Amino acid sequence: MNELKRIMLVEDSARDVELTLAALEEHNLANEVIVTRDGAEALDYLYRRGSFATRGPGNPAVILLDIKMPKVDGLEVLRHLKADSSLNMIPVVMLTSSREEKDLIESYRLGVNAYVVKPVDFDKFVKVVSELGLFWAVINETPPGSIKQRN
Amino acid sequence: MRRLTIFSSIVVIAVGATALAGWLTSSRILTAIIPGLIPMAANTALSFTLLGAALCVLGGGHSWSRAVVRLCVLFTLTMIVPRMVEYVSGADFRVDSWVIDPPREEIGGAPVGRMAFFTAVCFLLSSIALFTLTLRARRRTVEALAGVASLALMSIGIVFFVGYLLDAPLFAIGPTIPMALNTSFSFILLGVGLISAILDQRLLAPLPADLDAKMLRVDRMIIAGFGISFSSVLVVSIFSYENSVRFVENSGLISHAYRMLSESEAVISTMKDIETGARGFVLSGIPAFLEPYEAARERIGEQMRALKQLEENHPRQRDRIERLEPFIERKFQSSKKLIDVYSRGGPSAAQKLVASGEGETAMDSIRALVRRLQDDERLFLEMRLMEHESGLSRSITFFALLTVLILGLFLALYIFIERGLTARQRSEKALQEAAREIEDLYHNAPCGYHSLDASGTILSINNTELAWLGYNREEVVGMLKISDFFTEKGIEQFKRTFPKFLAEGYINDLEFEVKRKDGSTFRALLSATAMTDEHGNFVRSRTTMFDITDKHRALEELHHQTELYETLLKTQSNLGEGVVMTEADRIIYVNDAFCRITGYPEAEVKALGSLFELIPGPLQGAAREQVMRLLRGEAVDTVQEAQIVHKSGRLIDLEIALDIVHTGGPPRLIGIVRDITERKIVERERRTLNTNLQKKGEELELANKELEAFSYSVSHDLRAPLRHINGFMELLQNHVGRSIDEKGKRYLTIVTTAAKQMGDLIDDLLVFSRMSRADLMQTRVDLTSLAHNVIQRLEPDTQARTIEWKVGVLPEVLGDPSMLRMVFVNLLSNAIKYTRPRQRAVIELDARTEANGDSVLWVKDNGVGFDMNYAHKLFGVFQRLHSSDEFEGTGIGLATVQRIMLRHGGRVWAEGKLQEGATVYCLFPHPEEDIS
Repeated sequence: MNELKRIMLVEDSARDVELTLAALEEHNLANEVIVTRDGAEALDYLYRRGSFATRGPGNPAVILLDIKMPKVDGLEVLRHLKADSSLNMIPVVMLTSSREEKDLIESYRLGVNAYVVKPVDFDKFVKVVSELGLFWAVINETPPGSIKQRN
Repeated sequence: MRRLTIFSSIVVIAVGATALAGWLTSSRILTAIIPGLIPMAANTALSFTLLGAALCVLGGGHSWSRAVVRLCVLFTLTMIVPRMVEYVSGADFRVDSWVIDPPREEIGGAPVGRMAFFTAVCFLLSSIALFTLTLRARRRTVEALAGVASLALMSIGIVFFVGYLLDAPLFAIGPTIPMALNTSFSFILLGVGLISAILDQRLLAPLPADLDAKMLRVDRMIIAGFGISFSSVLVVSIFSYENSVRFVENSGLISHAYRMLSESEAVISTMKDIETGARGFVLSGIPAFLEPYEAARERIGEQMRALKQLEENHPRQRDRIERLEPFIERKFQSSKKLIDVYSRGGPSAAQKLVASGEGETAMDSIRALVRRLQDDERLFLEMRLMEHESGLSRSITFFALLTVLILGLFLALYIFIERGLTARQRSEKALQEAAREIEDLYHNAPCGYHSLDASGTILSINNTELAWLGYNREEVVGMLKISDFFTEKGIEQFKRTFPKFLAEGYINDLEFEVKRKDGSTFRALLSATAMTDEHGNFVRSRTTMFDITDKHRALEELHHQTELYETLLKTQSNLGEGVVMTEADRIIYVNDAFCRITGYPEAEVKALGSLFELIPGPLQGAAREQVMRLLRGEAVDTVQEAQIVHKSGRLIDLEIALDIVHTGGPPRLIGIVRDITERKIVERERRTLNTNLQKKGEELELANKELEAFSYSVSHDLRAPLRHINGFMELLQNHVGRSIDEKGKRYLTIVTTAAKQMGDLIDDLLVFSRMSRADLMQTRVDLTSLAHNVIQRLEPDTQARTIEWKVGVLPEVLGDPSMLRMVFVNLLSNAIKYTRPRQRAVIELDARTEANGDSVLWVKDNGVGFDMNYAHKLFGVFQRLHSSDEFEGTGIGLATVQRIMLRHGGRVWAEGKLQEGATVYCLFPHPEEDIS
């Protein structure tokens, strides 16, 4: 069986988290999903500080990052990640409702690995999320230092 | 000079010809002229005739004259050269008999008809001189040779001629044969003729009347030179004469001595006759012996008388002669006694007497006395002879000196004259040069010159003026009057001014219009002064003419320009632009507009002390500073704004352009002012307006930003709940699954559909909003290929349909490709949508170009169409003409199209009819710039 890699979801909306997890669940990808509810928490996790200070080492195989979040928004998180040499190899996928061009441009400028707009239609949403999870957590070879867990 | 040559040569010919005639007629008077003198030889006469003729034709200048001269010279030389050879070598060619055989006759010891040595010499000299003169190009040395030869033969002639005049006995100097009187005379004339011919040739150019003082001095010195020469000749001649007289006297004394000696000897001989006669008779007794005795007796008296007479002036000799007489008497007595004794006593008595020696003593005494007499005389004779010898050599020396002196003097004179002539020639050349220069200046100076007589007729005119007028000299001088060259206006002016000129003697810078021969005219400036005779009468004018056409044209040009500027100023004034000009603060010009602007009449403006008085007090300093900087040549804004005080006291805003004009005097300041009071008010209003507008703009920008934030929220926040509705509806459906009834299913479907509809609505609104805000790209877009591309993309929606696409050639436009794509997507999906009820849909895409270059594109379909009454609602946001049940849609598509078209500077409109299809037109404006 495939190695299942850890997916990190940064999403402030609980509904979206639920829907996303539901979508991942459909393909049995939900086991190793770390959910943080805003940018600050995400950074805490990645830097192993605050409430995550005690977690084990290792980076997620992919970060699914929402843009519009309280405290620290997605673009800011992205900027931090890509500016830090210890974290900038982690693939980051923007998973957002925004079709705004400026968000798209800014994200790519900061070095995002993919940009996905959450479809309104649930079927499509499930398909998109599961494909994302499949690709990044299963198919894609992760950079060194990622947490791996045998299924 | 030439006349002198001709005269001399004719006289020489006459003398020669006369002598020849004399020889032919054997007339001695013709050959010798003065009887008793030696005649001219025949060949000499012929030579004179030939050389005289040669000299006569020499100056003729004909081509043959040279040949004639040379021929004559050659002929003469054939007679002269052999004669010279005869003299030198002593041979006898009988040269003197070639012409006429002379008679064997002598005069004064010289043979008649033989050519003298000096005659031959003189002929040789004349031949040389004449030949030299026939040479075309002569050096000065050769010419000098001719001159010296001529002077020499003249001098020789003079020497012999003077010899004749003084009756000098030694005119036969040289090898025995003397020169004839007429020969010497002819040589003098020949010499004079030759010299004048030489000088004549040096003076080919005519003498100018006014030779300078130097030339006059040369002439005087020539005259003085001739005077000195003749005086010298005279002095030498007198001295020679005296010498000759003494010589003649000496000759008389010598002959007297000889006579004395012979007479005294005769006395002795007579006495011997007496003695021998008496003795012979006594010895022989023959009476015949007494005859010499008798004769001697008779003779002795005579002889003694002659002796006494000879020595009349010599007392000592006379005394001796007188002392001789008693002895002679005693001898007679003794001889007579002897004869008597014989007669009486017979021979013995006589012998006794002889033996006594009675008669012997007397005879001895006689002998002794005569001897003494003769000794004295011989001594005297010896002295005289010695004196004679020295006198002869002195004479020869004198003549030689005389010849040399005369020759020398003439030579000096000749050289002097020659020099003088050379100098004269040189100065004449200089004069001619100067004259040529003056003439050239007159004719070719860059101004016209002419002279008029009192009637205005042209007496002379220079080349420059002739060229200007286009006439020949022959047509003008003496033929035309100056007025003939004037136009009618000029003639009138001439009629006024010419009498004034004659009266006052000058005119200055009168301008005339002058007519050329070809009828064209030019402007000329005439000035003239009058030349008058000693009585003040007008003789002729000296007039200069200058062509001032160019200057005149320049003046006219200036006039035109002035007019132009005046008009310009007036026009400017009409427009309300004031013009003011100041010179050193003083206002010297203002136009009407300036007066209107300032409120001051012209006179009052000009009366102002300076322009600055119009400026409000506090600003005057700055204004002065500006002007000073302008005057110093510093950079100053050419157009400035200023304020002045109107006469009414009101402040006026001005726009003023200042500049400096340098016209030679103090610099002038030119100002052009425009009243901008009104404009200022408008500007102030506009500024307020602008401020407001800016504020509005800022507000608008703020609103825009808010809108943007709003859109952002819409796109993100509104869709999130929608997504949640959808997501959870799905989860709900899965969850309730089969347990839900039909009604519940329907409700779920409605909720899902509504949520989806709302999602579409939001998406379309976002697009619309983005189309309004996004930056417009401007590139060339080929609408044809864009249309085909969009049609292809829409294919999934049309697969179940029969649609006939008619796509024409669409233009290339300048625009934003993604926005234009949106236009096509909207229009074509509309067309597809509204043709759905048609079995066979026909959708046409085409375009045309309007006359003004705009492109109009249309999409025409045969769909359900619309009611034109609601056409205005088609392009409003959320405005729909059909229900969503009939045709789905958000009502934003055409609004988006309109927004895009407006942003491209174009517009959109639609035509349609219910159930008959619709056509949507899009207009793309003609691109202002080249799409390249």
